[in-house]
Amino acid sequence: MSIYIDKTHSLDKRDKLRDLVINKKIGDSLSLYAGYGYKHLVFHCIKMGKKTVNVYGYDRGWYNRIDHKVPVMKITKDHFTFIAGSFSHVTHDRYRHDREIGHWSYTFRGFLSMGIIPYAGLRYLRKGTLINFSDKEIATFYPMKVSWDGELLSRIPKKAKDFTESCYKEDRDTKNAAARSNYGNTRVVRLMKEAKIIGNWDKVKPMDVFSLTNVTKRTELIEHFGMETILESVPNMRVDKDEIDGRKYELLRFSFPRSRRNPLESETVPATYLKMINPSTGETCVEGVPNNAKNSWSNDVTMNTVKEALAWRDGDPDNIYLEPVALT
Amino acid sequence: MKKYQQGDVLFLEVPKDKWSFKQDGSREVMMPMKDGKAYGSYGHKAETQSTDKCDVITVAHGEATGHSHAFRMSQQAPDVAIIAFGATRTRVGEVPEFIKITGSPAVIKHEEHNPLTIPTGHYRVSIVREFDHISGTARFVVD
Repeated sequence: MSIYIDKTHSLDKRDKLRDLVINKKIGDSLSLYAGYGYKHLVFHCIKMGKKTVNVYGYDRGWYNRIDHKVPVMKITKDHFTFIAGSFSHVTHDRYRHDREIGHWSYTFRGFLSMGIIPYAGLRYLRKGTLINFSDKEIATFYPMKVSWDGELLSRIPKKAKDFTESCYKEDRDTKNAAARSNYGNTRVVRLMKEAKIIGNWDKVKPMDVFSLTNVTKRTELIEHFGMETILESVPNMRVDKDEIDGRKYELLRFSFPRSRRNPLESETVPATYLKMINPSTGETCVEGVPNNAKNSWSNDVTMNTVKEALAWRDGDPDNIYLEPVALT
Repeated sequence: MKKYQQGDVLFLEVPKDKWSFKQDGSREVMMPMKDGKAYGSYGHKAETQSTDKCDVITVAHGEATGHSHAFRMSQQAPDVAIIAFGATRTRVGEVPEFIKITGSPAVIKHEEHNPLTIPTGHYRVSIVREFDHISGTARFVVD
Protein backbone atom coordinates (compact mmCIF):
# COMPACT_ATOMS: atom_id res chain seq x y z
CA MET A 1 0.00 0.00 0.00
CA SER A 2 1.36 3.42 -0.79
CA ILE A 3 0.19 7.02 -1.01
CA TYR A 4 -1.53 8.54 -4.01
CA ILE A 5 0.49 11.64 -4.83
CA ASP A 6 -1.29 14.65 -6.25
CA LYS A 7 1.06 15.47 -9.13
CA THR A 8 -1.34 17.99 -10.72
CA HIS A 9 -0.85 20.55 -7.98
CA SER A 10 2.47 19.46 -6.50
CA LEU A 11 4.70 21.89 -8.39
CA ASP A 12 2.39 24.79 -7.64
CA LYS A 13 2.34 23.96 -3.92
CA ARG A 14 6.11 23.43 -3.86
CA ASP A 15 6.71 26.83 -5.53
CA LYS A 16 4.38 28.61 -3.10
CA LEU A 17 6.05 26.99 -0.11
CA ARG A 18 9.55 27.81 -1.39
CA ASP A 19 8.44 31.37 -2.01
CA LEU A 20 7.18 31.62 1.58
CA VAL A 21 10.48 30.28 2.96
CA ILE A 22 12.73 32.49 0.84
CA ASN A 23 10.89 35.67 -0.10
CA LYS A 24 7.97 36.37 2.23
CA LYS A 25 8.20 38.37 5.40
CA ILE A 26 7.93 37.11 8.97
CA GLY A 27 4.32 36.47 9.97
CA ASP A 28 3.16 35.56 6.48
CA SER A 29 1.41 32.22 6.15
CA LEU A 30 0.21 29.64 3.69
CA SER A 31 -2.39 26.88 4.01
CA LEU A 32 -1.77 23.63 2.19
CA TYR A 33 -4.49 21.03 1.83
CA ALA A 34 -3.34 17.40 1.71
CA GLY A 35 -3.93 15.28 -1.36
CA TYR A 36 -6.38 12.56 -2.32
CA GLY A 37 -7.28 10.35 0.62
CA TYR A 38 -6.10 12.95 3.16
CA LYS A 39 -8.25 15.91 2.20
CA HIS A 40 -9.41 16.29 5.80
CA LEU A 41 -5.86 17.34 6.72
CA VAL A 42 -4.54 20.85 6.40
CA PHE A 43 -1.03 22.18 7.00
CA HIS A 44 -0.74 25.76 8.11
CA CYS A 45 2.75 27.11 7.33
CA ILE A 46 3.84 30.30 9.15
CA LYS A 47 7.08 32.18 8.59
CA MET A 48 8.56 32.46 12.10
CA GLY A 49 12.08 33.72 11.41
CA LYS A 50 14.15 35.00 8.54
CA LYS A 51 14.86 31.47 7.33
CA THR A 52 12.36 29.29 9.13
CA VAL A 53 8.78 28.26 8.52
CA ASN A 54 6.84 26.33 11.17
CA VAL A 55 4.18 23.92 9.97
CA TYR A 56 1.14 23.15 12.10
CA GLY A 57 -1.10 20.25 11.17
CA TYR A 58 -4.86 20.06 11.67
CA ASP A 59 -7.67 17.72 11.02
CA ARG A 60 -10.48 19.86 9.61
CA GLY A 61 -13.12 17.80 11.38
CA TRP A 62 -11.41 17.60 14.75
CA TYR A 63 -10.31 20.91 16.25
CA ASN A 64 -7.74 20.72 19.00
CA ARG A 65 -6.14 23.72 20.63
CA ILE A 66 -2.76 22.04 21.06
CA ASP A 67 -2.38 21.77 17.28
CA HIS A 68 -1.91 25.56 17.22
CA LYS A 69 0.93 25.40 19.71
CA VAL A 70 3.08 22.48 18.64
CA PRO A 71 4.47 22.42 15.09
CA VAL A 72 4.75 19.08 13.35
CA MET A 73 7.46 20.26 10.99
CA LYS A 74 10.01 23.02 10.41
CA ILE A 75 11.15 24.10 6.97
CA THR A 76 14.21 26.04 5.85
CA LYS A 77 15.44 26.72 2.33
CA ASP A 78 17.64 23.58 2.59
CA HIS A 79 15.50 21.00 4.28
CA PHE A 80 12.31 19.84 6.00
CA THR A 81 12.53 18.65 9.61
CA PHE A 82 9.71 16.35 10.64
CA ILE A 83 9.34 16.87 14.37
CA ALA A 84 6.28 14.81 15.24
CA GLY A 85 4.65 11.89 13.55
CA SER A 86 1.09 12.82 14.36
CA PHE A 87 -1.22 15.64 15.19
CA SER A 88 -2.59 15.85 18.70
CA HIS A 89 -5.82 13.99 18.08
CA VAL A 90 -4.16 10.77 17.07
CA THR A 91 -2.28 10.73 20.34
CA HIS A 92 -5.63 10.89 22.12
CA ASP A 93 -6.00 7.99 24.54
CA ARG A 94 -8.19 6.04 22.19
CA TYR A 95 -5.64 6.16 19.39
CA ARG A 96 -2.51 6.38 21.50
CA HIS A 97 0.49 5.12 19.68
CA ASP A 98 3.56 5.52 21.84
CA ARG A 99 5.95 4.12 19.28
CA GLU A 100 8.34 6.77 18.00
CA ILE A 101 10.10 4.54 15.50
CA GLY A 102 8.02 3.16 12.66
CA HIS A 103 4.98 5.27 13.57
CA TRP A 104 2.28 5.24 10.90
CA SER A 105 2.50 9.03 10.89
CA TYR A 106 -0.26 11.40 9.88
CA THR A 107 2.31 14.09 9.18
CA PHE A 108 4.20 12.05 6.62
CA ARG A 109 1.12 10.61 5.01
CA GLY A 110 -0.63 13.93 4.60
CA PHE A 111 2.44 15.90 3.64
CA LEU A 112 3.80 13.39 1.14
CA SER A 113 0.39 13.14 -0.53
CA MET A 114 0.87 16.71 -1.80
CA GLY A 115 3.96 15.69 -3.78
CA ILE A 116 6.07 18.57 -2.43
CA ILE A 117 8.96 16.24 -1.60
CA PRO A 118 9.81 14.23 -4.72
CA TYR A 119 10.88 10.55 -4.75
CA ALA A 120 9.59 9.90 -1.23
CA GLY A 121 6.89 7.45 -0.27
CA LEU A 122 5.65 5.31 2.56
CA ARG A 123 5.31 1.56 2.89
CA TYR A 124 3.12 0.02 5.57
CA LEU A 125 4.27 -3.32 6.87
CA ARG A 126 2.51 -5.35 9.53
CA LYS A 127 4.91 -4.18 12.23
CA GLY A 128 5.48 -0.54 11.29
CA THR A 129 5.74 2.18 8.67
CA LEU A 130 8.80 2.61 6.49
CA ILE A 131 9.62 5.74 4.52
CA ASN A 132 11.42 5.21 1.25
CA PHE A 133 13.67 7.70 -0.46
CA SER A 134 15.33 7.35 -3.83
CA ASP A 135 18.16 5.23 -2.45
CA LYS A 136 17.09 3.86 0.92
CA GLU A 137 14.14 2.70 3.00
CA ILE A 138 13.99 3.18 6.74
CA ALA A 139 11.46 3.13 9.59
CA THR A 140 10.08 6.58 10.34
CA PHE A 141 11.82 8.36 13.23
CA TYR A 142 11.76 11.86 14.68
CA PRO A 143 13.20 14.37 14.20
CA MET A 144 13.95 13.50 10.56
CA LYS A 145 15.63 15.90 8.15
CA VAL A 146 14.82 15.56 4.47
CA SER A 147 16.17 17.77 1.67
CA TRP A 148 13.95 19.51 -0.91
CA ASP A 149 15.17 16.87 -3.40
CA GLY A 150 13.93 14.01 -1.24
CA GLU A 151 17.26 12.90 0.25
CA LEU A 152 17.50 11.83 3.85
CA LEU A 153 19.93 14.16 5.65
CA SER A 154 19.65 12.87 9.23
CA ARG A 155 21.93 10.22 10.62
CA ILE A 156 19.86 7.06 10.95
CA PRO A 157 19.59 5.99 14.60
CA LYS A 158 20.49 2.38 15.43
CA LYS A 159 16.99 1.89 16.85
CA ALA A 160 15.47 2.74 13.48
CA LYS A 161 17.85 0.42 11.64
CA ASP A 162 17.02 -2.46 14.00
CA PHE A 163 13.31 -1.75 13.76
CA THR A 164 13.49 -1.73 9.95
CA GLU A 165 15.20 -5.13 9.99
CA SER A 166 12.55 -6.51 12.34
CA CYS A 167 9.81 -5.18 10.01
CA TYR A 168 11.43 -6.97 7.07
CA LYS A 169 11.78 -10.15 9.10
CA GLU A 170 8.14 -10.15 10.16
CA ASP A 171 7.03 -9.42 6.61
CA ARG A 172 9.20 -12.27 5.32
CA ASP A 173 7.89 -14.66 7.97
CA THR A 174 4.28 -13.76 7.13
CA LYS A 175 4.84 -14.31 3.42
CA ASN A 176 6.68 -17.58 4.07
CA ALA A 177 3.89 -18.83 6.33
CA ALA A 178 1.30 -18.05 3.63
CA ALA A 179 3.47 -19.80 1.03
CA ARG A 180 3.88 -22.83 3.33
CA SER A 181 0.12 -23.00 3.82
CA ASN A 182 -0.50 -22.72 0.11
CA TYR A 183 2.14 -25.34 -0.71
CA GLY A 184 0.75 -27.73 1.94
CA ASN A 185 -2.78 -27.39 0.59
CA THR A 186 -1.72 -27.89 -3.04
CA ARG A 187 0.43 -30.91 -2.15
CA VAL A 188 -2.33 -32.69 -0.20
CA VAL A 189 -4.96 -31.96 -2.87
CA ARG A 190 -2.60 -33.46 -5.49
CA LEU A 191 -1.85 -36.53 -3.32
CA MET A 192 -5.56 -37.09 -2.68
CA LYS A 193 -6.27 -36.90 -6.39
CA GLU A 194 -3.52 -39.42 -7.15
CA ALA A 195 -4.65 -41.68 -4.30
CA LYS A 196 -8.18 -41.79 -5.68
CA ILE A 197 -6.92 -42.77 -9.13
CA ILE A 198 -4.47 -45.49 -8.05
CA GLY A 199 -6.45 -46.55 -4.98
CA ASN A 200 -3.44 -46.26 -2.69
CA TRP A 201 -3.61 -43.73 0.12
CA ASP A 202 -0.18 -44.49 1.65
CA LYS A 203 1.26 -41.11 0.75
CA VAL A 204 -1.53 -39.18 2.50
CA LYS A 205 -1.11 -38.88 6.26
CA PRO A 206 -3.87 -38.17 8.83
CA MET A 207 -2.02 -34.97 9.85
CA ASP A 208 -2.56 -33.66 6.29
CA VAL A 209 -6.15 -32.83 7.26
CA PHE A 210 -4.83 -29.62 8.81
CA SER A 211 -3.10 -28.53 5.59
CA LEU A 212 -6.31 -28.47 3.56
CA THR A 213 -8.02 -25.12 3.17
CA ASN A 214 -11.24 -26.45 1.67
CA VAL A 215 -13.77 -27.78 4.18
CA THR A 216 -15.24 -30.37 1.80
CA LYS A 217 -11.83 -31.86 1.06
CA ARG A 218 -11.02 -31.84 4.76
CA THR A 219 -14.27 -33.67 5.53
CA GLU A 220 -13.45 -36.17 2.78
CA LEU A 221 -10.10 -36.93 4.42
CA ILE A 222 -11.69 -37.18 7.87
CA GLU A 223 -14.16 -39.70 6.44
CA HIS A 224 -11.30 -41.67 4.89
CA PHE A 225 -9.15 -41.92 8.03
CA GLY A 226 -11.81 -41.55 10.71
CA MET A 227 -11.67 -38.82 13.32
CA GLU A 228 -10.17 -41.15 15.94
CA THR A 229 -7.13 -41.95 13.76
CA ILE A 230 -6.55 -38.25 13.15
CA LEU A 231 -6.79 -37.44 16.84
CA GLU A 232 -4.33 -40.24 17.62
CA SER A 233 -1.81 -38.92 15.08
CA VAL A 234 -1.33 -35.52 16.72
CA PRO A 235 -1.07 -34.89 20.48
CA ASN A 236 -4.20 -33.06 21.57
CA MET A 237 -6.47 -32.36 24.48
CA ARG A 238 -10.16 -31.55 24.70
CA VAL A 239 -10.50 -28.08 26.17
CA ASP A 240 -14.28 -27.91 26.26
CA LYS A 241 -17.38 -29.63 25.00
CA ASP A 242 -20.87 -28.25 24.69
CA GLU A 243 -24.28 -29.09 23.31
CA ILE A 244 -26.20 -26.21 21.78
CA ASP A 245 -29.76 -26.83 20.66
CA GLY A 246 -28.99 -30.55 20.32
CA ARG A 247 -25.79 -30.00 18.31
CA LYS A 248 -22.56 -31.33 19.82
CA TYR A 249 -19.34 -29.32 19.69
CA GLU A 250 -15.84 -29.95 21.01
CA LEU A 251 -12.96 -27.53 21.34
CA LEU A 252 -9.66 -29.34 20.77
CA ARG A 253 -6.15 -28.05 21.28
CA PHE A 254 -3.48 -29.76 19.19
CA SER A 255 0.28 -29.53 19.63
CA PHE A 256 1.75 -29.09 16.17
CA PRO A 257 5.51 -29.54 15.68
CA ARG A 258 7.01 -26.09 15.14
CA SER A 259 8.90 -27.36 12.11
CA ARG A 260 7.00 -29.37 9.56
CA ARG A 261 10.31 -30.42 8.01
CA ASN A 262 11.30 -32.14 11.20
CA PRO A 263 8.21 -33.69 12.78
CA LEU A 264 10.34 -35.29 15.48
CA GLU A 265 11.39 -31.90 16.82
CA SER A 266 10.22 -31.62 20.41
CA GLU A 267 9.16 -27.95 20.27
CA THR A 268 5.46 -27.61 19.56
CA VAL A 269 2.94 -24.82 19.02
CA PRO A 270 -0.69 -24.90 20.19
CA ALA A 271 -3.41 -24.92 17.55
CA THR A 272 -7.08 -24.74 18.55
CA TYR A 273 -9.77 -26.42 16.44
CA LEU A 274 -13.52 -26.70 16.74
CA LYS A 275 -14.96 -30.13 16.04
CA MET A 276 -18.60 -30.19 15.01
CA ILE A 277 -21.19 -32.21 13.17
CA ASN A 278 -23.08 -31.01 10.12
CA PRO A 279 -26.70 -31.15 11.35
CA SER A 280 -27.98 -31.94 7.85
CA THR A 281 -25.59 -34.72 6.80
CA GLY A 282 -24.12 -35.91 10.10
CA GLU A 283 -20.56 -35.49 8.77
CA THR A 284 -17.85 -34.50 11.24
CA CYS A 285 -15.73 -31.49 10.41
CA VAL A 286 -12.97 -29.55 12.10
CA GLU A 287 -12.30 -25.86 11.62
CA GLY A 288 -9.46 -23.82 13.04
CA VAL A 289 -10.10 -21.02 15.50
CA PRO A 290 -7.41 -18.71 16.92
CA ASN A 291 -5.74 -19.61 20.20
CA ASN A 292 -6.66 -16.17 21.48
CA ALA A 293 -10.29 -15.12 21.20
CA LYS A 294 -9.63 -11.36 21.31
CA ASN A 295 -6.43 -11.04 19.32
CA SER A 296 -5.76 -13.71 16.74
CA TRP A 297 -2.13 -12.55 16.37
CA SER A 298 -1.38 -13.02 20.04
CA ASN A 299 0.57 -16.02 21.30
CA ASP A 300 -1.38 -16.10 24.56
CA VAL A 301 -3.74 -19.05 24.64
CA THR A 302 -7.10 -17.84 25.95
CA MET A 303 -9.70 -19.59 23.77
CA ASN A 304 -11.21 -21.97 26.26
CA THR A 305 -14.89 -22.46 25.49
CA VAL A 306 -16.93 -23.73 22.58
CA LYS A 307 -19.14 -20.64 22.74
CA GLU A 308 -16.14 -18.30 22.47
CA ALA A 309 -14.96 -20.24 19.43
CA LEU A 310 -18.42 -20.13 17.82
CA ALA A 311 -18.70 -16.39 18.49
CA TRP A 312 -15.33 -15.77 16.80
CA ARG A 313 -16.31 -18.05 13.90
CA ASP A 314 -19.55 -16.15 13.31
CA GLY A 315 -18.02 -12.71 13.97
CA ASP A 316 -20.51 -12.00 16.76
CA PRO A 317 -20.07 -8.65 18.52
CA ASP A 318 -18.13 -8.59 21.81
CA ASN A 319 -17.30 -12.28 21.33
CA ILE A 320 -20.64 -13.30 22.84
CA TYR A 321 -22.21 -16.15 20.91
CA LEU A 322 -25.58 -15.36 19.42
CA GLU A 323 -27.44 -18.62 18.91
CA PRO A 324 -29.11 -18.90 15.52
CA VAL A 325 -32.89 -19.08 15.43
CA ALA A 326 -32.54 -21.84 12.85
CA LEU A 327 -29.49 -23.78 11.67
CA THR A 328 -29.39 -26.41 8.95
CA MET B 1 -30.72 -9.33 16.42
CA LYS B 2 -31.81 -12.65 14.95
CA LYS B 3 -29.45 -14.99 13.17
CA TYR B 4 -30.24 -17.73 10.66
CA GLN B 5 -27.56 -20.12 9.51
CA GLN B 6 -27.23 -22.62 6.69
CA GLY B 7 -23.85 -24.34 6.92
CA ASP B 8 -21.25 -21.64 6.57
CA VAL B 9 -23.66 -18.86 5.55
CA LEU B 10 -25.14 -16.51 8.13
CA PHE B 11 -28.15 -14.21 7.76
CA LEU B 12 -28.13 -11.48 10.39
CA GLU B 13 -31.29 -9.47 10.74
CA VAL B 14 -30.57 -5.77 10.21
CA PRO B 15 -32.40 -3.43 12.60
CA LYS B 16 -35.05 -1.36 10.78
CA ASP B 17 -33.62 1.94 12.01
CA LYS B 18 -30.20 1.38 10.41
CA TRP B 19 -31.03 1.46 6.70
CA SER B 20 -33.68 2.99 4.50
CA PHE B 21 -34.74 2.14 0.96
CA LYS B 22 -35.50 4.52 -1.86
CA GLN B 23 -36.28 4.16 -5.52
CA ASP B 24 -33.60 5.50 -7.89
CA GLY B 25 -35.08 5.16 -11.36
CA SER B 26 -35.69 1.47 -11.93
CA ARG B 27 -33.35 0.44 -9.13
CA GLU B 28 -33.85 0.37 -5.40
CA VAL B 29 -31.07 1.84 -3.29
CA MET B 30 -30.26 1.05 0.32
CA MET B 31 -29.17 4.04 2.39
CA PRO B 32 -27.54 3.98 5.83
CA MET B 33 -29.51 5.86 8.48
CA LYS B 34 -28.38 7.78 11.50
CA ASP B 35 -30.85 8.83 14.15
CA GLY B 36 -33.68 7.91 11.82
CA LYS B 37 -32.38 10.13 8.99
CA ALA B 38 -30.58 9.00 5.89
CA TYR B 39 -27.22 10.73 5.70
CA GLY B 40 -25.72 11.40 2.28
CA SER B 41 -25.16 8.62 -0.16
CA TYR B 42 -22.03 7.41 1.59
CA GLY B 43 -22.04 3.67 1.83
CA HIS B 44 -25.28 3.23 -0.07
CA LYS B 45 -25.87 -0.17 -1.55
CA ALA B 46 -27.45 -0.42 -4.95
CA GLU B 47 -29.55 -3.36 -5.96
CA THR B 48 -27.45 -5.97 -7.79
CA GLN B 49 -29.97 -8.65 -8.63
CA SER B 50 -33.71 -8.72 -8.61
CA THR B 51 -36.35 -11.35 -8.88
CA ASP B 52 -37.61 -10.28 -12.28
CA LYS B 53 -34.11 -10.39 -13.79
CA CYS B 54 -32.86 -13.75 -12.60
CA ASP B 55 -34.21 -16.99 -11.27
CA VAL B 56 -31.37 -17.75 -8.87
CA ILE B 57 -29.88 -15.50 -6.21
CA THR B 58 -26.66 -17.11 -5.02
CA VAL B 59 -25.31 -15.99 -1.66
CA ALA B 60 -22.28 -18.33 -1.48
CA HIS B 61 -20.50 -20.34 -4.15
CA GLY B 62 -18.76 -23.68 -3.57
CA GLU B 63 -15.15 -24.04 -4.68
CA ALA B 64 -14.48 -27.79 -4.77
CA THR B 65 -18.02 -29.10 -5.06
CA GLY B 66 -19.64 -26.53 -7.33
CA HIS B 67 -22.52 -26.48 -4.86
CA SER B 68 -24.01 -23.19 -3.81
CA HIS B 69 -26.29 -21.60 -1.23
CA ALA B 70 -29.02 -20.10 -3.38
CA PHE B 71 -32.60 -18.86 -3.47
CA ARG B 72 -34.35 -20.39 -6.49
CA MET B 73 -37.20 -18.05 -7.31
CA SER B 74 -39.23 -20.62 -9.25
CA GLN B 75 -39.37 -22.76 -6.11
CA GLN B 76 -40.57 -19.98 -3.78
CA ALA B 77 -44.14 -19.03 -2.92
CA PRO B 78 -45.60 -16.81 -5.67
CA ASP B 79 -45.57 -13.61 -3.59
CA VAL B 80 -41.93 -13.88 -2.46
CA ALA B 81 -39.62 -11.15 -3.68
CA ILE B 82 -35.94 -11.06 -2.88
CA ILE B 83 -33.70 -8.14 -3.65
CA ALA B 84 -29.94 -8.37 -3.23
CA PHE B 85 -27.87 -5.28 -2.39
CA GLY B 86 -24.18 -4.58 -2.62
CA ALA B 87 -21.55 -7.08 -3.67
CA THR B 88 -18.73 -8.83 -1.87
CA ARG B 89 -15.98 -10.30 -4.00
CA THR B 90 -14.85 -13.73 -2.84
CA ARG B 91 -12.28 -16.03 -4.44
CA VAL B 92 -15.09 -18.02 -6.06
CA GLY B 93 -17.30 -15.19 -7.29
CA GLU B 94 -19.35 -12.20 -6.26
CA VAL B 95 -22.08 -12.48 -3.64
CA PRO B 96 -24.54 -9.94 -2.23
CA GLU B 97 -23.86 -8.14 1.05
CA PHE B 98 -27.52 -7.71 1.99
CA ILE B 99 -30.83 -9.23 0.99
CA LYS B 100 -34.37 -7.99 1.48
CA ILE B 101 -37.17 -10.55 1.57
CA THR B 102 -40.72 -9.34 1.12
CA GLY B 103 -44.10 -11.04 0.66
CA SER B 104 -43.65 -14.41 2.34
CA PRO B 105 -40.74 -16.24 3.98
CA ALA B 106 -38.13 -17.43 1.47
CA VAL B 107 -36.40 -20.79 1.33
CA ILE B 108 -32.68 -21.13 0.68
CA LYS B 109 -31.29 -24.41 -0.57
CA HIS B 110 -27.94 -26.16 -0.73
CA GLU B 111 -27.05 -29.63 -1.96
CA GLU B 112 -25.56 -30.73 1.38
CA HIS B 113 -27.83 -28.90 3.82
CA ASN B 114 -31.50 -29.05 4.64
CA PRO B 115 -33.53 -26.13 3.23
CA LEU B 116 -33.71 -23.11 5.52
CA THR B 117 -36.78 -20.89 5.73
CA ILE B 118 -36.03 -17.23 6.39
CA PRO B 119 -38.86 -14.87 7.38
CA THR B 120 -39.48 -11.60 5.58
CA GLY B 121 -37.06 -8.86 6.55
CA HIS B 122 -33.77 -7.33 5.83
CA TYR B 123 -30.56 -9.35 6.38
CA ARG B 124 -26.81 -8.95 6.18
CA VAL B 125 -25.23 -11.98 4.52
CA SER B 126 -21.92 -13.16 5.92
CA ILE B 127 -19.74 -16.23 5.77
CA VAL B 128 -18.24 -17.92 8.83
CA ARG B 129 -14.49 -17.63 9.36
CA GLU B 130 -11.82 -20.16 10.16
CA PHE B 131 -8.24 -19.76 11.32
CA ASP B 132 -5.33 -21.30 9.47
CA HIS B 133 -2.68 -22.18 12.05
CA ILE B 134 -0.06 -22.80 9.37
CA SER B 135 -0.25 -19.36 7.79
CA GLY B 136 -1.47 -17.65 10.99
CA THR B 137 -4.36 -15.95 9.20
CA ALA B 138 -8.13 -16.02 9.27
CA ARG B 139 -10.18 -16.62 6.13
CA PHE B 140 -13.76 -17.26 5.09
CA VAL B 141 -14.78 -20.90 5.04
CA VAL B 142 -15.06 -22.34 1.55
CA ASP B 143 -16.50 -25.73 0.68
